[in-house]
Amino acid sequence: MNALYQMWAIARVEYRMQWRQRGMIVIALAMLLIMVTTIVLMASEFNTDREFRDKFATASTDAITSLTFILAVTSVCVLLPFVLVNLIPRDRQIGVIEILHSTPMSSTTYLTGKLIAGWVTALSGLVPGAIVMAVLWYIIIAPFNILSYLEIWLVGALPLMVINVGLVIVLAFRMPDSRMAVAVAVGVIVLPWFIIGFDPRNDWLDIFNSFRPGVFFHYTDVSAIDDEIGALSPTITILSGLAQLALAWLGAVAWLRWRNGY
Amino acid sequence: MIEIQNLTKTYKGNIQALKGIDLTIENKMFGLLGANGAGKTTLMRIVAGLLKPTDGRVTVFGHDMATLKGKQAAKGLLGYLPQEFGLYQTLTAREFLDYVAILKGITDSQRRQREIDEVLEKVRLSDVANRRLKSYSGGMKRRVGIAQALLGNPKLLIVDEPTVGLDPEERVRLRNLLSDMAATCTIILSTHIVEDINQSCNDLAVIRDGAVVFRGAPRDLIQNAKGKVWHVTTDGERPNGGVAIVSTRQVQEGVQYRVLGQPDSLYQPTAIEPSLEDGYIWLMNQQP
Amino acid sequence: MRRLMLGLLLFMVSPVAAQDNKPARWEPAPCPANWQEHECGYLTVPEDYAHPEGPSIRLMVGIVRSTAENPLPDPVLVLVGGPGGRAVGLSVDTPLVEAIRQERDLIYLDQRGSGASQPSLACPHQSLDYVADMRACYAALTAQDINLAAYTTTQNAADVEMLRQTLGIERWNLWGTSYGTRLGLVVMRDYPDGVRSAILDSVFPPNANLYLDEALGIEPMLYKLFDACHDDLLCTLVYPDLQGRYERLFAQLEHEPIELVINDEPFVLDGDALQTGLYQLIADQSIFPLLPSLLDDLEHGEYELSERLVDAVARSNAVHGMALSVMCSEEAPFVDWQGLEAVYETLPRPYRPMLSVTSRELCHEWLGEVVANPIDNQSIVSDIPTLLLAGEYDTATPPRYAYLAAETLTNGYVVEFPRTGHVVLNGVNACSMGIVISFLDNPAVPPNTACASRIHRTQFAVGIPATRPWAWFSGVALGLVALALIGSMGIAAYTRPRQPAWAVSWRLLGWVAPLASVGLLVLTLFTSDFDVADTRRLVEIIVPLAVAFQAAFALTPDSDRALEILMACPRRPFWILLERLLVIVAIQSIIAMGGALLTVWITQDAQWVLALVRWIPPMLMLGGLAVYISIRSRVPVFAMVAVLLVWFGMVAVGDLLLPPNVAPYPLNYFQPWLWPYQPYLKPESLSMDDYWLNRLVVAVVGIVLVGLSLREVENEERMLTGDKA
Repeated sequence: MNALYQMWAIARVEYRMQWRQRGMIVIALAMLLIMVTTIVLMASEFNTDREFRDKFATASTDAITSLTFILAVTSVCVLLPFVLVNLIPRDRQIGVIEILHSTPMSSTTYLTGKLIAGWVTALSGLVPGAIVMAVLWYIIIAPFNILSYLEIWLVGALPLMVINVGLVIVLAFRMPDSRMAVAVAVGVIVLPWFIIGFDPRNDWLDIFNSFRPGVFFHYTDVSAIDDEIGALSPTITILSGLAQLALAWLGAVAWLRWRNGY
Repeated sequence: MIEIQNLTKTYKGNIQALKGIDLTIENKMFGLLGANGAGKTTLMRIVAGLLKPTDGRVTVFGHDMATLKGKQAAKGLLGYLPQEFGLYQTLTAREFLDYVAILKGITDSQRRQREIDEVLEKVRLSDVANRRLKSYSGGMKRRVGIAQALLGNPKLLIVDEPTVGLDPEERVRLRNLLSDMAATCTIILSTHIVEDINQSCNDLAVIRDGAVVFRGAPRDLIQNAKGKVWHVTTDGERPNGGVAIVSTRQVQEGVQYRVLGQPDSLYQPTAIEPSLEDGYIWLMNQQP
Repeated sequence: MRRLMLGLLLFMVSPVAAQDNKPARWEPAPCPANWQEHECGYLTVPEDYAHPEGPSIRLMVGIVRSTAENPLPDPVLVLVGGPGGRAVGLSVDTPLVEAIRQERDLIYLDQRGSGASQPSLACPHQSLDYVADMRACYAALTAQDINLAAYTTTQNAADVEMLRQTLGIERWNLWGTSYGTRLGLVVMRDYPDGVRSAILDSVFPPNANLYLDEALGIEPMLYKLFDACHDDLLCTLVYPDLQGRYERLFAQLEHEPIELVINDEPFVLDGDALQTGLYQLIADQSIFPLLPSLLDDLEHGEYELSERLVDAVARSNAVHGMALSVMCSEEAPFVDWQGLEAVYETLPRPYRPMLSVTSRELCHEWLGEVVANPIDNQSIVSDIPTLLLAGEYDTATPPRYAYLAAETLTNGYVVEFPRTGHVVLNGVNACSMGIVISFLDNPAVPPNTACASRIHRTQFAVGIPATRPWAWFSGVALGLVALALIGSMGIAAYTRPRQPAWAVSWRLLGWVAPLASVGLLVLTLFTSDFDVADTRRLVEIIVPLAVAFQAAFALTPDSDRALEILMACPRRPFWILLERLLVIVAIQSIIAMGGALLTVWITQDAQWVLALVRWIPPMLMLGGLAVYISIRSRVPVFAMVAVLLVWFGMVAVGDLLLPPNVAPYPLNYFQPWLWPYQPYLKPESLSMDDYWLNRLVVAVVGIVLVGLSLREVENEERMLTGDKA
């Protein structure tokens, strides 16, 4: 019970700090700006007429689904991990970690708390984005199938965020400062994409690809941008991603236990 | 009561920070004196459960620090002020203390509120508690550090160099605060400022190169230097001949030196009463 | 439906009726690979319905089932254009098809001679000489005993009726496109009972006078292009007096044709070729915006875009026997060639088409003497509800044809879409889709076409020649800024103490980034299966990112605890940053050089000088961006995120910045000016001169950013406190 309370406190404080720093706000604003610009641009492309808006729901759903997924993938897979990777290294760099470790909180609680903090902060950036985008789209362009839209956030983007943000936080937990933390993020996010490439025909190797191509190609297929269907199913991609996260977390916890004797 | 038996700590590169320390610390204010790099901080961190000893045994109020359970229980009784620490710049003092209070297990928000108010009052930060820590001066940040250590009514308070960066008034206030606290809790005060110990501790240990070289009351340390402290006045020439100069003062007749040891009678030394500082320096000057 | 395929001689094909008592055979068949989830089959029909006992042919038919549980009984029959276009296998992932599928099945027919139907009258595209290709095609087809005279619209329409009966469909809706509208109209004429409604997109009625209309249409249509450019702010600013340009260029080419080389084949671009090409391309909505820049390119002696377009036009003029069979039997026989010639003479030279004698001869070779059937030139009378869609810029089937056809269609509704080219529904939008779907729902109600007039304006592309002065200007202007920044600091550096501390800087910067760039280079060079062009880019993709990473963390005012001491030294503060940046560049340069040499060796790159230097501009730009954002925002992570975005965006989709792409409004006003700043321009994307110009600008931008960062470090108060001084 105490551990839960402690994790909650970590998440709350981290959330507060991330939003008070300029970085998170700038990124959130940039995301909103990109969304609004895209919607305004699409509005002129779509040349929607109010009378036909309802007839247009299928196309509109397709368009917002694909657009959302592209924005979500860039923000979730690239931006957020870089912003949130140094949650633990930063504590070490500024020297607050000694105070935190003198409290009865266990290292596992600390690690898990930071993980949750990363997720909460990322979510707090994504949810307004998702809502603003949906509302603007509905008003400016056309009605769309809200369930499909929700699905792409909950089943597509959310697991990606959980996996990618979680992986970088856990893998960077030993790093001494934010420079090394960012190096870890480059290693986890940029490197696999670079080495494995971005090809729907890749199969099992792609479970390590930070862009989670199984999910990506699933949604490009659903939204009719592209007929290509990835060799990996989204379910396998997400499950293997979660498994990697779980393994990384277990490894970190085991290391902490060995190192600290508990 | 804290018991430390045969404690050693060896860092990477075979650097021996602690070489078999045995200490028993009773429930009162305990001073830990030593030069920089003597191993004070390592010892404090081990007692606080932040470092694992290479060998030896530490129990804090009967809790064995080698076990998870013991360590967790001990940390529940602990207030710790590290020598060097940082704070989250974007939080206010109150938010930061609230955070630490939760981590210390104070889950009842009303109690937390009350305790935060209390410690803020104790370190005299109530007026600025809602300002971001970014705007705090060095001394104020140190006081936030002290405040967080006081949270949760610790049974054991470990303070590493608490007076660094405090102005004289704050330093006196802190000493008094610690003395008051000593009535209900054990305090380990680590410092290289002898004056701090002299004013507040009845029990102290001196550490040199990772080993305890003195254990006892301040007056015993003073006693050691009895008859070895002298005033020597010259016209500027430094007195030589195996003496340590404690202080130098310009006086009308020339330069007055306070020296430790046995100065040459040529200088016509006058014996004076030793202070704790004299005792400490005398100890440090002994060959190990 | 291209005017190049024209014929002269007449030949009578008697109107034939599909004979109901002749059972046609239907056999299921596999669909094309991208149609796996749909149903396909072959319909066997006589090659010539006038001789049902003669040879038979097989038509490929695809059925795309409705997504509704209980689809409506009247499916939509898709009749594509050409003649000779492929239907089965077309993408069904379009909004319009999906909307139709919500209520009805769609049936796709590969018309006789076309697509996967057997025999196929398609021939290989072998050269830029259409006539030569068609002659080869004739030889190949006649060798297979194919009766070329049987491939007419009337026979085609009989196939449609046969298909309807075979599938047991009572009534269906026709969706014809281009030549498919001609076929649809003939079906409405010959078999009206089976048709519930018809959507005819880009109408080509039998009574159209293709040759005369085209001759008269060239001038107004080119004027439409000039006017559209004049109405667009960007186009009229960058390309004023487009009409004058065209006429001058026409005269020049008339006098002195240009020899282009397209796929190693010579092509003479004279005035007529320019006129014909321009006129044809106006109908293509994706190419229309490029036309002003095409003229500008030609004026500047740059032929890359022209060569691309000539190639595209030649490829799109499918070498198809079906097209010639139809045109030679149904259009050419009705042409009054003498009258036409007289009309031509009245037209001003830049707008007078070339009279094609060759196509007359070709038709004669193709079908011999053709006796025209007058019905093939008569308007079609019908009361079937018909939606006729037309695009203002359609030069192949101008809007006038839709109105002409509608004259005799009592329930025909014409919708003309302004600023739209051939085949309106290719660029389907909410408006056209809404009109089509509501018409299908209720054909008896005239569609509400108000939205059609609100199609947005054309946005024109701007080509390289028009923006090159800007690139030079920005390169020189930024270069002066860079000189001023670096110069002022250089002087200061020599008049004040300047002891560098290289070793300390090197140790502070760490080994992670150099190691990472070496590791990545080696790993990707030896393991990845990139193509040669991408392998040659590896150094410039990897090293600048590593440099940016190091530069972002080179000086972090908030966590560099020695900063205050360093700032108090007599040395100018900018040295703190400069020496670190120089160490980074030195180390990474060694790595990049090694990588470049390795790349040259692996890819056998003859342009080894390019390989040795091409990574420098992106390194300067990304490194400068990283250090500038890091110093200004005091959050190095933020700099890293920004650099990654730029890096990723420019590597992946940076070519969108290149002319002559068209960005959506209002970005179209900015996009043409951005190509000088694309850090990952490929040498093969533009001419080498433009590439080096771009490299210059990119490098100068990087130097300016570094200079600004160094100036920022000079502001001690801001560096130490983060406050504005």
